[in-house]
Amino acid sequence: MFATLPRVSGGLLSPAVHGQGSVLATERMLPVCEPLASLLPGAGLQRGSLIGVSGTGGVTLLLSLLVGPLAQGSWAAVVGLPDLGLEAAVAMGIDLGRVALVPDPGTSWTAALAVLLDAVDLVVVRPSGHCRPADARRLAARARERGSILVVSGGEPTWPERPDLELASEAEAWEGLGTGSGTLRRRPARVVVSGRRSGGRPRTTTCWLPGPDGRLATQRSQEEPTLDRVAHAMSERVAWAG
Amino acid sequence: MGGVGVIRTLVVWCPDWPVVAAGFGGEEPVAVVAAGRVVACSAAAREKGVALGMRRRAAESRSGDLVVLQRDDAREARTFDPVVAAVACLAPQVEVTRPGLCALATRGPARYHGGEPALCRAVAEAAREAVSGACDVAEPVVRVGVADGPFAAALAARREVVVPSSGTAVFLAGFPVDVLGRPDLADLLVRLGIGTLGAFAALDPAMVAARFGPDGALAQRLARGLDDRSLRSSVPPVELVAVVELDPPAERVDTAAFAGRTLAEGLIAQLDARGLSCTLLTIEAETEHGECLTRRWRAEDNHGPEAMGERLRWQLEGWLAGTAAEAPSAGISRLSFRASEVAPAGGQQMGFWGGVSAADRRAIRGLDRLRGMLGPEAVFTGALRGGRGPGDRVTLVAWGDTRPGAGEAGPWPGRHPDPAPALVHRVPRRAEVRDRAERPVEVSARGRLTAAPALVSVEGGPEHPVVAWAGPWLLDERWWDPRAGRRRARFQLVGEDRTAYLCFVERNQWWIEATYD
Repeated sequence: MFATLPRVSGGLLSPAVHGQGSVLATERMLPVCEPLASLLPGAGLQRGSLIGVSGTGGVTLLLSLLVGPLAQGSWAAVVGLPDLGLEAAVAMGIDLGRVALVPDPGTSWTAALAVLLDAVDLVVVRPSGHCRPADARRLAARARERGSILVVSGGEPTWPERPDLELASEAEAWEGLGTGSGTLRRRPARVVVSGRRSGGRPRTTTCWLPGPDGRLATQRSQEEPTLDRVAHAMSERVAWAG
Repeated sequence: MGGVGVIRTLVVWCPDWPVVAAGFGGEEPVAVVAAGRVVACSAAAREKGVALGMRRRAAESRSGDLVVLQRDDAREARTFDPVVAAVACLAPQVEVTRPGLCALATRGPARYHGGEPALCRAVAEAAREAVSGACDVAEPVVRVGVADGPFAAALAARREVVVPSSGTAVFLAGFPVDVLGRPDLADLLVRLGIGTLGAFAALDPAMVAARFGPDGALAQRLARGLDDRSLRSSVPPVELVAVVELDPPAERVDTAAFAGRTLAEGLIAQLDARGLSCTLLTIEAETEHGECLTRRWRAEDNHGPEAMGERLRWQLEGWLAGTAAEAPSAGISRLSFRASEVAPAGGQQMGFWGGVSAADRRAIRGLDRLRGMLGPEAVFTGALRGGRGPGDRVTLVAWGDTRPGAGEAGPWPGRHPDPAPALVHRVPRRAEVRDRAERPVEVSARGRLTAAPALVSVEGGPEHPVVAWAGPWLLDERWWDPRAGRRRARFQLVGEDRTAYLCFVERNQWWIEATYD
């Protein structure tokens, strides 16, 4: 209402302008859900970092990385993944209202990434072509400056910069599907975290990628009773046959 | 008389507060910058051509001896608190809008002090004394004005006048439309040839609401002198308060301000549950010695929980780090945020405290920009809707379009089972599925397979043995419509390379509609 008076912008001042000392360490990390949290250094994704995600089951792994930050009020953007299964994303607990999708960014996709790194905390990209090293450096600098995270999905074509953190999944065979019976239910997988930020040697965990409810889940040592699984498979079968 | 519910308001305005807070009077050329742009400047700097929003370099080139200061929110808040305290001695219930500006309802205090002009003189005198004490400025400028409602009162303070109750609309008529604080609206109005509040107020309110929406209608009510905030917001029917106990008690600003986020989120959760947003926030602190400190902050702008936390920080700066007479004698042991006035969330009040967060605003601005760069059909958000196939169950909404409400969650018999596939192909991929004798596998009208699938090849790629499969699940949708109707038989297939597919057969052609990556 006081147009000509200097306006105090609420909450948008950067800590440096604010003059209020350093940003807390927890504010520099975006939280992730278990079991990834126990695998990642600092139990989260470091703001300003570059993260690579690859391997079989990589898309499921990618989606599960977004769950924690989105639940905390962050926004995410997914660039160059027109086939992303949004229903799987919702099943994981992702609020689609906070995920911007740019399925076909066209030739100016690196420029689009730069704008998105300004706008949202997590930018996921599957490169639609080779990225020039100068562009990659510029994007990394932008991410560091804005405290956003660039997640490069898929191994090819390779990203010119080495990621700070690399997550690779090695999925095993699906469970639940027989020959002529059952339905896909869950899939065991190994997730390996390596890179400059992992503190030396790679860390590995085995998990369900995804579990029967579509979420990433820790593998428990004891198995469910066989009868339960049969009953589950039958109920699913009935539901599907409708 | 003014409109029903309009509150006679006195506004105390300290011009160029960031400059004054730094200890400079009006005669030295001073500019305060934030993020490389001038956010405030002294009268002397203004005379030399320095203007708000100007880049630092440009400002320095206008005036060689210009003193440039970095903005310090904490100092501005700290030095303003004694001013608020001094005004509060004359009239309780002072609301701080931001450092440099506060308002109070005149009804009771004016009667006590013998009329509004007398109250103005007393308030201005007390504020001036407090400013010169807090900021070490010899003759500080403090302007006080009274009018109907805080909007008009702030303009009255600029001119240092007491606008009579019946004259608010006449007083406002001469002001340009930019004083409404809505740059987009003002720009449009000026291009339409409506340059003053008087001209804007003369328009038919119904037409204004139709053309400019609820916010435009509200702006026009302000222009007409009908700043009936009390009708829009009210005292909450139940107590809405968030409390944090600090143990050990906090003696430093940063330790106490740390609780701000928890408090803000606690209060916003209560507001959200009732569909309300907070328009007047009361911050209370209690010390170990039982001293109680209270300040009321008016939410005029669109703020999120960060802004509430920032108000708390400013407030604490004033109490703990400042030289205020009411400085506490012990650490703060209890902090609370209370919603003293609320308004229904949504509609014209949308975006007040309890609305949009800083992250949301940053994302919305950035995505708007991206849409401008790539075109209207390039940026989307996804939404779920009802359907049986993985492709049917989601829809992409172009950025800027209205997102549909919650989809039809209700049962969709025949829908593919959970978990949902991670990759859903926009265009189904053609596939060949053969049996062990390398004959194509077909599905009869009654859903019988000619043979078990044994080999799968996608889009002419290499053939993989099928290690697991299930189906067919028959789908006969919209059979009543010859064109939209479709009969499909669905399968799940897993190849030897461990890739799992969701496929369907339609007219004896196999298609991969999704991949379980």
